[in-house]
Amino acid sequence: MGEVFLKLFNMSIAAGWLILFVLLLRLLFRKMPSWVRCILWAIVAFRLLCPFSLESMFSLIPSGEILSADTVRYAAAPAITSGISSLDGALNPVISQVFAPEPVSSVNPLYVVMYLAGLVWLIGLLLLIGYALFGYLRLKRRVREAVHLRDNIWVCDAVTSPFLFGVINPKIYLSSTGEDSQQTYVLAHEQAHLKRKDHWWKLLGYLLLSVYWFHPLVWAAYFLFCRDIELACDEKVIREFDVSEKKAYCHALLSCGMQRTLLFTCPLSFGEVSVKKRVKSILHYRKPAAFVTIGALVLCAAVALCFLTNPAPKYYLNHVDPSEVSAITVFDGNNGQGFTITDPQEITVIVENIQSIPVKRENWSLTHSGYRFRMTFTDQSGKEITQFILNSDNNIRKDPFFYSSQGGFCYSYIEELEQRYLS
Amino acid sequence: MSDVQLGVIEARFADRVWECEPVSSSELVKLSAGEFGWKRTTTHTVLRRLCDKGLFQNVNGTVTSVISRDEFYSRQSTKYVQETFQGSLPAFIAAFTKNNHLTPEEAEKIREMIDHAEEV
Repeated sequence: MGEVFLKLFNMSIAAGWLILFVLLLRLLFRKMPSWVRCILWAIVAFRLLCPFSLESMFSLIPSGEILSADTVRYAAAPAITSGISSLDGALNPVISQVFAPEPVSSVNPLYVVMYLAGLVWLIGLLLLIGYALFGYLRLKRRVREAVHLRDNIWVCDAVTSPFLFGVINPKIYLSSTGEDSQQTYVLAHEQAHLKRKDHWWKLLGYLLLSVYWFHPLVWAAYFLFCRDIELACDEKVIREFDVSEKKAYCHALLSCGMQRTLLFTCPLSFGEVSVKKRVKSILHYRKPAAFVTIGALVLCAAVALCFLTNPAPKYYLNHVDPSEVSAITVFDGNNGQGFTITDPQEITVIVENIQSIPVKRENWSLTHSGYRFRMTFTDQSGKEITQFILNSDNNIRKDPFFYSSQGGFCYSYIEELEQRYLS
Repeated sequence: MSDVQLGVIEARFADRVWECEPVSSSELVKLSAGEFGWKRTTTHTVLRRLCDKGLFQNVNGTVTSVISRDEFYSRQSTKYVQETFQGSLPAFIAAFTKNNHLTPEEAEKIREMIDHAEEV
């Protein structure tokens, strides 16, 4: 239970970065067509759904795993790696102290907390699903007395504003007192929902919301996603309309009070788009030029690449032959002293060591001021091959990131060399 | 009774009952299934609602009307004129004829109705 919740917790943090980025994109590109916004939400959904992730160097996710299962179970001083070093620096001392396991007990307190959190999560999930089921059954009861009109359209006394209802074979329900002229526009909107398979997308969205209910950004994403669906359907209907038809459509919207037309699959009462916003967006709609569409698709592909992948492990000095390196200049940040290593054997030891250990990108480093060994590798002509900072046996810093490994860097070896060179 | 409102579909169902009465409730269920696509429980629910509203009664599985269709709609009309024209029939007829001209046949019929009403 705790492990399931932990996995979801990690996934949600990574998705949270993506959602923030999508929100930023929406702010920057207000004019983007609604169907593009829906594609961005599809990418978010994929991130939330998929427990596995490819690794690539284009990844913009700060960290693949915030709180590892091992840390929860075993760590003597539990810590998080959120990807923001200042956040880690602030939180980890507290976390380590509060959750430090007592020498006598065999279970890490953090593990117990995670288990309890898992239970709370499960209760929330069941509550949300229960609420949806309840809403579905209640609505199903209400449209019992509907009478078949034609195709998949039914008419009902108890319906005030028209909606699409049902998951497998959704039906359109119209009010029995509606005006025919306006019903055509309403029907066009509902049929657009059907064609776009919105009833399934919305259901998926709600299921994801139920699973990730603990993350506030997921709620924001769901809210905006519901809105975008309605706007995208409006756009689909009015795409070829002229001004007078658009106005007629807006009149139909107003009199039907068609705020929310996809019921059941959105049982939550927010997700209603204000009629004002829809009318505004309809009247201002301009069919986008081809380059805008292509640009938008490229943008979506880039977002997918950068946010659906996790940071990949890399090897420092991996293309460097030890014989190329003629000197390693080391500057010790602790005592402000420097020395240069020119002995080929020592150089070989260091280079081969660094090359052999994979590191994974972890935190942003720019807010960190202290460091230990700044190492500069130069070749025969005095040109710099590369430069980075070695902070410990498992940590390299190359601004703007920290990279960490499982350990094994030649840190103490360099300390020894320093002793020797400086005495 | 006079503050009873029927939805459009309810009214269609009521018309069907008035047409067929007296009718067994099971016959009614079959009828509704054919015309409206309703389940047995749905038909019973609507029927019960109309009985509660005082239109019909269901005695031992046979459905009959408590009030005739004409009587029901006449009461509805009276209530409408009461609420909208403060009970003034001339005002109602004036509003009605403003946009709809009476045919000679209609005028003749109305004259007869007025004579009949004055006599009683």
